[in-house]
Amino acid sequence: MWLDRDGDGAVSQAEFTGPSGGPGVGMERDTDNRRRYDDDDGAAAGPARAGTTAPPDNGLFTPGSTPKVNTQ
Amino acid sequence: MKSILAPLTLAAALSLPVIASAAPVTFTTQLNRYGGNGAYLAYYVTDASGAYVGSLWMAGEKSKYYKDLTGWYRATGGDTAQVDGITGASVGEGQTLEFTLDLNDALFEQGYTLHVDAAVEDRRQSPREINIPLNRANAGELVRGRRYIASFKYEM
Repeated sequence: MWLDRDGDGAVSQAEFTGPSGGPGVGMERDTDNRRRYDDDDGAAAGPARAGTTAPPDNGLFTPGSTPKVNTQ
Repeated sequence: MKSILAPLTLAAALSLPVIASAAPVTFTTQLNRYGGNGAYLAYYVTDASGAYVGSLWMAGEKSKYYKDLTGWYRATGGDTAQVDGITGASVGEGQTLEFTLDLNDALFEQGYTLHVDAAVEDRRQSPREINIPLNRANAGELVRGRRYIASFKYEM
């Protein structure tokens, strides 16, 4: 019983929820484990969008070219 | 007249190699209806020895999720400079992503292979879901994906 911190053999509400009413031991919600793929949530900066800068100079692209994209 | 034609002839001669080496290529990817959120897709090229050459497109703008595109991430170390200027939005299930790039003609018939990694929130990662040698014979050929990609093709 890893939640039974006082060792009385039972898990009380305080042990379950934690002393502040928040998550108890081992109950923290690790939302980072969920892969959120929402492009509009304002977190983490990404690379430059197509059209805002030239494609990388990796030898694959014609110099000065601009990608055209369409999603349906 | 001769003085006008001479520079024009020279300009035409200089521009010909540029025109001959450029190939507009359209990549079309249709996703399955897998019942989840938008997919991140990484398009990248390796040479005949399997070494990473460069990226062609990144669908999905949050770099913190790029680690789920495991093939691309392993090849690049997650370097976002690799996809600067060639990044767009993630692609919803059932949608079709189409993009056209002006590529160096020398890219084809050189033993290069195009790979597409796919990843979806709370779903299994799907590295190298598409692997197709870049050559003129494969242009227009429809290729099926393993998990999220219903079909893929490139046209020249």
